[in-house]
Order: sequence, then structure tokens, then C-alpha cells
Amino acid sequence: MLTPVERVLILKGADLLSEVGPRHLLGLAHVAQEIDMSRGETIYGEEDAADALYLVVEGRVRLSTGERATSEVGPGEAFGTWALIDGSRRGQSAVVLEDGLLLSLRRADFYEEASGDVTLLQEIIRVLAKRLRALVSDRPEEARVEPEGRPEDEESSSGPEGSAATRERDGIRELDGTAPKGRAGAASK
Amino acid sequence: MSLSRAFARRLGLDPDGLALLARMGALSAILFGAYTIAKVLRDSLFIGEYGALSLPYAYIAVAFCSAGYVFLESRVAHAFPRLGARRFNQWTAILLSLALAMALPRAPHVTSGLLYLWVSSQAMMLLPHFWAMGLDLWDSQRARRLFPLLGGCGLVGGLAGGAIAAASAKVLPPTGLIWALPALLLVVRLLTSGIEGRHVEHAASIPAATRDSSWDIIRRSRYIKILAVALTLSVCISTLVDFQFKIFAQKMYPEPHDLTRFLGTFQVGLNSVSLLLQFGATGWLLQRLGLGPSTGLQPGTVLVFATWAAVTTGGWAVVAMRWLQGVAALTLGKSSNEIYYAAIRPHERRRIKPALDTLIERWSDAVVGCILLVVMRLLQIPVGVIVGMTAMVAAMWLFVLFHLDRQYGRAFREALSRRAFDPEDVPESMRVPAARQALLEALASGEERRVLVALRFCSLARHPLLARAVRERLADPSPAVQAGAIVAMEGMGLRDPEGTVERLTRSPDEGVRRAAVHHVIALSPGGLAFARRVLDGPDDPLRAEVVEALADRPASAEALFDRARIDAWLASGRPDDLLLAARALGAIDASFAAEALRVLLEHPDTEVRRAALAAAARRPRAASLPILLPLLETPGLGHEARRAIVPLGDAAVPALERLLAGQGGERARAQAAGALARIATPRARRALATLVRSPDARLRHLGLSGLARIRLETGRPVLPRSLVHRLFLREMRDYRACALPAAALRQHAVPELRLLGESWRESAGRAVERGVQALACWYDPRPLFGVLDRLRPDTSGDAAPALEYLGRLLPRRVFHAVHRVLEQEAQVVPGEDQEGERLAGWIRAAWENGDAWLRAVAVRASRCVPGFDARLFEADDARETPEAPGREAPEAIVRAEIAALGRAPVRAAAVGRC
Repeated sequence: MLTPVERVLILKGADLLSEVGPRHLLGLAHVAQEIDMSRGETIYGEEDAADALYLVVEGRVRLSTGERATSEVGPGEAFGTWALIDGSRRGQSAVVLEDGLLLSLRRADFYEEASGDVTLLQEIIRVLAKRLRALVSDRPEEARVEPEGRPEDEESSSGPEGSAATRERDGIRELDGTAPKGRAGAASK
Repeated sequence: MSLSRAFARRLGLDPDGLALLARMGALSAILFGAYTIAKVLRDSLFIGEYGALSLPYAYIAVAFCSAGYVFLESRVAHAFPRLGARRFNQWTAILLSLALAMALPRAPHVTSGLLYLWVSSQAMMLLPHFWAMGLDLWDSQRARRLFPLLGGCGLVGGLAGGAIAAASAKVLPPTGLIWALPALLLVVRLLTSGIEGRHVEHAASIPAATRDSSWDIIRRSRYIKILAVALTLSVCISTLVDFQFKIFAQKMYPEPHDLTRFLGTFQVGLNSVSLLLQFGATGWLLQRLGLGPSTGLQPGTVLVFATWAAVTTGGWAVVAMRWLQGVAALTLGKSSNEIYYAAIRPHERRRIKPALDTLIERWSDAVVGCILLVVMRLLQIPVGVIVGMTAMVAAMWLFVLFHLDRQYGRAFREALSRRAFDPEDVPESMRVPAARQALLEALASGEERRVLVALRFCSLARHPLLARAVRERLADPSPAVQAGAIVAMEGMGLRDPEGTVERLTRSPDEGVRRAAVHHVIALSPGGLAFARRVLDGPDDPLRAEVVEALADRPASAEALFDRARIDAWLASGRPDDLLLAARALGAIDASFAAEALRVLLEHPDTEVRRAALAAAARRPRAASLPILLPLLETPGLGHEARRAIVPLGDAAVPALERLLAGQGGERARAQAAGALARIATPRARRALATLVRSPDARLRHLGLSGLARIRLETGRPVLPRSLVHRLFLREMRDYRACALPAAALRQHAVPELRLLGESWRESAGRAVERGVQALACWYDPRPLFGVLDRLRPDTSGDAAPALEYLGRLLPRRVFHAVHRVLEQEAQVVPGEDQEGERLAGWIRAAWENGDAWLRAVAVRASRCVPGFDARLFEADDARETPEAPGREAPEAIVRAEIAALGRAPVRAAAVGRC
């Protein structure tokens, strides 16, 4: 059983929560749940709804899109961060590589806690804004607002850079902190 | 610790900042040295060729030259970024000085005149550019400390320049000395280039240059206009004093060589004393006296000496006056004048400062020149009368300075109050024809967002043309626009004779339906019949809308919500019916309503209880209080319970006081404080005031935030001023205790210790918040919101405007105590004191602080300090504090950490590294 201070230290490992003050994180630490994980276990699949953020306390987790492994997450690292913001499907699967322990923060619990803590939300919005600004400065051409009603844009954009949908997914993964190392690094520059 | 490091720390600079200061100091010295040589050459050559009595003509000519050059420079500034303008100015100066140096031996008479024009116009613009660059590099608080140093460096340069000019008069003709100017200006250019790298980095955070012209900026700002008047008067004084001095100097030294030597020696003497003052007393005086009195020393000195000179009519009194005025101008006057510019927004300052400085200086000279010509040539008035005129202008200057100083404080107050706006201003502004036209254009634009915004403002404008345009929006294909149009119609009191709105009550869109129901019930003659029809019908969502719409119309509600209908809804037991009953009970005062509401407040369904609480808030009954109080602690209902308790007023205060005293948990205590703040009666205020002296920081926070809220709502002070100061100082002492370890541990490599630093920082932020809330109990809270935003340790905002404002708001002794606290924090270098006994000291301080979270983190951090004596934690006498259900009590967190001390950190990789 982790102590509240340990939980706060672990929650600080999630990029989205890194700027949040410790006392505000304490509220989240109270509602976070410890989950034991075993090798080979699927934490979530690509089609599952994103409903919780996970932080690895012990063990390792592999994140994959289709057959392609996108990254591995170890102790102190977070995955599925975007779930706190957006309830869309995961878009990638998470499978346990080594036995261990996860700390999970469900979106419903997060919002219940955040509803009484404006500062917590302000800090998260600040982090999101910073990440978006980094993304925009890194790839300004993708930050352009395209005119509506041009479905052919999506088709024509598939090329070396991939389709708009792929780019959107990549953007989310960069915010999520689970993009392949090179690009995530660029996003957090 | 090296001397430079100690010096940097004293100035609140990092090593890079110190290097930048050194470069700026060197630039200042060379620039002012070159300018002093130029001035000595200018005066000696001009007086030698044309005579001192020709100076008024020169003043007028210089004004025209300056205007022409400022126009040219503004064109360049418009076409190029700021760095381009500065570079243009410096290269122009180098080229013109070269040209004049070459021309002087060939045509001394004409070149002396041209030199006078160049030095007084184009070359002079180098100085405002230098100070503008300084203001971009440092904020107003730093400027107070650093500008006197830069001014001192300038004086060293001036001293050297004067000495060179005086010494060279013996060995070199002026045609030789003038070659020093292009050489020195070239060095100035090279140094500026070196600094610009740092400058550009800083300037990135400054908003882009404004498109408004300098004149527009000056015209719309009262502050800039007063500043301009003050600068004008200061220049008039300088010119008048200088003119009298030069007349006397020419009489004493008719030979140009003697005059050059005298002027050079005079500059040396002037700059030497200024230098001693600058490094010895100017910074201290600026800090202690403040801007107004510091700037006022210059006109004060002139007033005294001009009166003396007028009485004695002695020439040496004029020399003494010129000398003292020069010393005051070069030391306090220069630094404080530049700091007054800090109250102008950076992009506007950048635009107007060089032009304002140069034009004011030169046109003031021209005005003085014209006056002198009229006085001396036409009216044949003797020179002695000018001394009296000087005293009068000095008195006027003092008066304007008094106003300028008040406006300076007000400028910061307005900047800090921007978050708070006055909603009363909006309706007035919407009634002007231009606003009406803008609304009509927006309504016809077809852009949904624009139309919606316009609809929101239409109810404030009320005009037949707008009424027609709003009605037309009912046919808009967008449901949001339809709903907005109906709401606007209701706000404007527009009826719907064609029945379009009633038809929209059957719209599939919820927003449109709601707006239409409200409109029909509020404004339609058949509104009551419509409501009865819907309530008797089967459409649950529409019934809910009708009940909601009737809530604000008690007369109609009493007629429709009779006992039979309410009982039927209660008896059905359906959640929808129970919600309808709860909402209906909020609209009526009937005797049976109290009992029915009690049933609903105790219902297990949270939504039903929430609706019942909303009804209780609308129809407050003291009898409901015992049921409402426990709901303050219920998750998800505390906010609604508080809203239901507040309308009970004083009747609720005793019960809330008991909660404040700790009868409930922490959550109940916070809600009780919030409720008392909203009740805001004298009794509620007294209840909150008992908390502000508590040793428990959490209680102080509740008390101070509640009282500050009452202060904001009522507009009247809620605590005595002296008490507010004492409370503020106490919180700032708390802040100091937290800020030092926070700063020292900010960048620690070990996560546990970094967490301790962050927790200290959070505590420091809360202390600042409490301190500012304490001030808000007496002072106007609106600018204090801005002060809080800038002083919080977790924000990277510029604290200087907040300190400027507090410096004007608070008594000197209170402000200096605060200033010292913040300076002390600035002197902590992150990364220092991270090991050994100092670290153990921070942990012990956290443990002894009394805050449960800090204690818990201190226990955790103690693992990372080898040899730390953990027996300290055995003396834990913490008592159990009741908490909200489902939460660990604060002291339980501490005990959990103490219990975990015995076990190894099994999850070291995720949790920490120690």
C-alpha cells in the first residue's frame, strides 16, 4: 500500500500533472487506485474508451498501435494521460511486459475532485496550453485552420507525413507523452 | 564567495545579469563621455563664433532640426523593427560626426553652427535610445537599483569626457578634439551590438509595436500628458539656468580657449560630485524617499538658488545654481525621470520615448529661446529678471511633479485592476449610435458567433431598429441563434403578436424550447393558460421548463402549484415528478411547502436533494436549518447547501460559528466560512474576524478570504487599517519562512526533496494570498487581485508593478518590511545549501511548521538526508483532526509516513532516488 506522499510523487510523473501543486495532487492521490498487473495482461485495447490515466509504479508496459509497438513505459512514467481530458477511444493498446503495480486515476474521479478545485484545473490548462504552443511552434503548418467542407483535404494530405487522422492521433500521443521518443522530444521542446 | 557574486546577489542579479550590467555600464560611460566632449565643443565653438546672446536663435533652429529628425526616425521605426531604428540612429551619428570633423578646419563658422544643431538634435537621441534599451532589459524595481549605477557609469564617462576636453584645450585645437567623436561613437555601436543579442531575447516577451502614432498614444493617456508637461518644465528650467550660466561664463572668459578650458573644468567638477553622489546616495535616496520627493529635489534646489540669485544679483550665485541643478539633474533627476516611463506600456514606451525626450527637450528650448528673444531684444528687460522667471517655472514644476507622482501610482493601480471590470459601464456604452450600428451589422453578418454576441448585447441597447433585427433572427436556421433571439426579445420586452415564439416551444432543440417557454410565460397574454395546459399534459421536459419559468413569477406560480398538484407529484414517486415538485416548491410560499420540502431534502436521490436545496435557497425558512447544515459536508451538495443557508442571514450565524469552531469536519468549516462571507451582516463579519488571529493558517485563510469577499461586495472596509497592516506583516513573515527553503530546494535532484521545496513554495503562495487578503479587508480589493497574481511564488509574472503599487499604498515602514522579505528571497540562489545541516534544518522547520502536509513530506524527505535523526518524529503529539467522510485526516497522512519510515522504499524507481 502506497502512502499519500508516495502517491503524490508518482502522480507528479504524469506530464499533465507535473505543474500541479502537491496539496492539490493530494486530493487526486486519495481517489487514485492501486492495480496489480501481471505479464501478458491487457490493460486496455485500441477500441476501448479512454477512461483512466495510468502511472507505472513497478514493472513495464508496452504500448502498440496495431502490430507496431510505439513505446515502452517503465516505473515513474505515465500513459493514457489524454483520457483525463477526452473520452474518445484509446487508439492504442497497453499490454504488461513485466509484473508490477499501476496507479490508476479514473476520469470520473478526476472530475469529481477537480470540480471543487479550480487551481488544479488552471494548472492542467496551463500545461496543455504549453504543450499545444510547443506543437504549434514545432509544426506550424498543422496548426493552420483549414476551411470547412473540404473532405478531399484528408485524402490529399496522405503522403510522407501521413493522413490528417494520423497526424491528429500523433498530436494526441505527443500530448499524451506516449509518442515515439524523437517526436515527443520535439513536442516538449 | 567572490566579490562579484556578492555584488550580484545584492543587486538581485544572476551572473549573466551582472555581465549585462557591466556591458551596459561601459556603454553608458562611453556614450556619456562622447556626449560631454560633444557638448563642450558645441558650446565653446558656438559661443566663440556667434556669442552667447545668439543662443536663443540656436534653440529655435535646434527645435526644427529635432522635429525633422524625429519624423525621419519614426519613418525608419515604422519600416524596420526597433533594433533597426537604434542602429540607424547610431550609424547616422557616426557619419555626421565624421563629416563635421572633416568640415571644421575648412569652414569653422558654418560648421560650429551645424555642430550645435547636430549635438542638440540627432546626437542627443542616442541617450533616450540607451535608456529605452535599459527599461526593456529591467523592470521598474530593478531599474531603481540599477539605473543609478548606469547613471554613475555615465558620470564617469562624462568626467573623463570633460577632463579630456579641458586637457586637450592646452595641446589640441578644437579641430583635433572633434575626431574623438566618431571614434567613440563607433565603440558605442560595437558595444550596443554585443548587448542586442540579450536584448532581442528579452524583447520577445514584449508585445509587438503598436500601430498608433506617437501623437495618438500621447493624446489618449493623461499620464503621458502630465509626464510630458513635467519634462517640458524640467527642460525649461535647465535651459534658463544654462543660459544665465553661459552669459556669465562668456563675460568671465571672452577667449574661446579659456572658455573651453573653463567649461571642461566645470564639467569635471560637476560630474565628480555627481559621481560621488550617484554611487553613494542616489540609489538609497530613491529607495527611501520614493520617486516623487527624489525628483522634486531638482526644482526645489533651483527654487531656493534662483531666489537667492535674484536677491543678491551675483554671478557666482548663478554658477552655484547651475552646478547644483546639474548635479541633481544628473543623479536623482535622470534616474527618476527614466523610471517614470516604466508606468507606460512597453510597446507604447518604445514608440514615444525617444521622440518625446528629444522633441520636448528641443521644443522647450525653442520656447525658452523665443521668450528670451522677446524679453531681451524687444522688451529690453535685463538678464537679472530671468532669474525670477526661473524661480516661477521651478514652482510650477514642483506642482506638476506632485500630480505626476499621483498619476504614476494610479497607472499601476489601473494595470493591476484590469481583472476587475465595472459591469455598469456596459449598458451605457451600448447606447451610443456607433455601438448600435455595430450591433446591427453583426446581426446581419450571418456569422453565428458574431450574431450570438450581438444578441447578448441587444437587450442593453433597446432601439426599434434593433428590435426588428432581433425578431428577424427567429427565422435563423441555427437553433443557438433562435434561442439567443428569444432571450434578447425577452430582455428587450418585445412581445410576439404573430405567435412565432409560442410555436417554437415545440422545437426539438432544448435551448430554443426553454427560451420560448420563458418568453411566452413572461410576455404573452395567454402565458398562464399555456402553462396550465403544459402542466396538465404528458410532456415531461416541457413541464420542467414551465416549472422553471414560473419560479421567478410567484403570483402565477401560487395559482398553478396548488397542494393537490404538489401532493400528486410527491405521491407518484417518479424522479421526474419529484424534481418538478422540488422546483415548484421553490416558487411558492404556501404553508404546506415547508413540510413537503423537508421530505425532499431528506430524499436519498442526490438530484432530488439538489433541486430541493435550490428551492430552499429561493424560499428561505429558518426551520430548515437543522436539515441543511449536515448537507454542507455531503460531497456534491455542499455548494447548494451553502446557497440555501445564506438567505437565512443572521439566523444561521450561531450554527455556522459552531462549525467554524470545529464541530464538523474541514469541509464543513470551509463551507461555513463561505456562507458567513456571503451573509455579510455585522454578526457574520464578527464571526469571521475571530479567525484572522488564529495560530492555524487554515483558519486564518478562511477568515481573511471571507472578510475580503465582504469588503469587495460591500465596498466598505471590514477591519481597522492598523490591524490589516499587522496581519499583512504576519503573513509576510510566514511567507519568508516558507520562501527561503522553497527557493533553496527548487532545483534539487532528489524528487523527495524537490517535493518538499514545492510544498514550501505552495505554503509561501498561500501566505502571500492571506497577506493580500488581509490588505483587501481595508484597501480597495480590485488592484490587489493583480498584486496577488504577480507576487505568487508559483507564477513567473513580473512583480515590479505590484511592488510599485504597494510602495504607494502602504505606509513606508510596512512596505519596507515587505520589500526586505522579497529581496531576501531574490538573493537565494537555487542549488545552494542543498546538503548537510542546512537541509536537515529545512526538514526540521517543515516538521515544526504545524501544517500536516509539510510534516508528512518532511518525514519522507528525511530518508534522503543521511544521518538525519528520525527520533524527532517520535515526539509527534498530533491530535486527530476530524475530516470529511472518505478522506484521510491530515494527521493520518503524517502517521502513514512515520509508519513507512521503518520499511525500505521498495518502489524507489517510481517514487524517488534516495
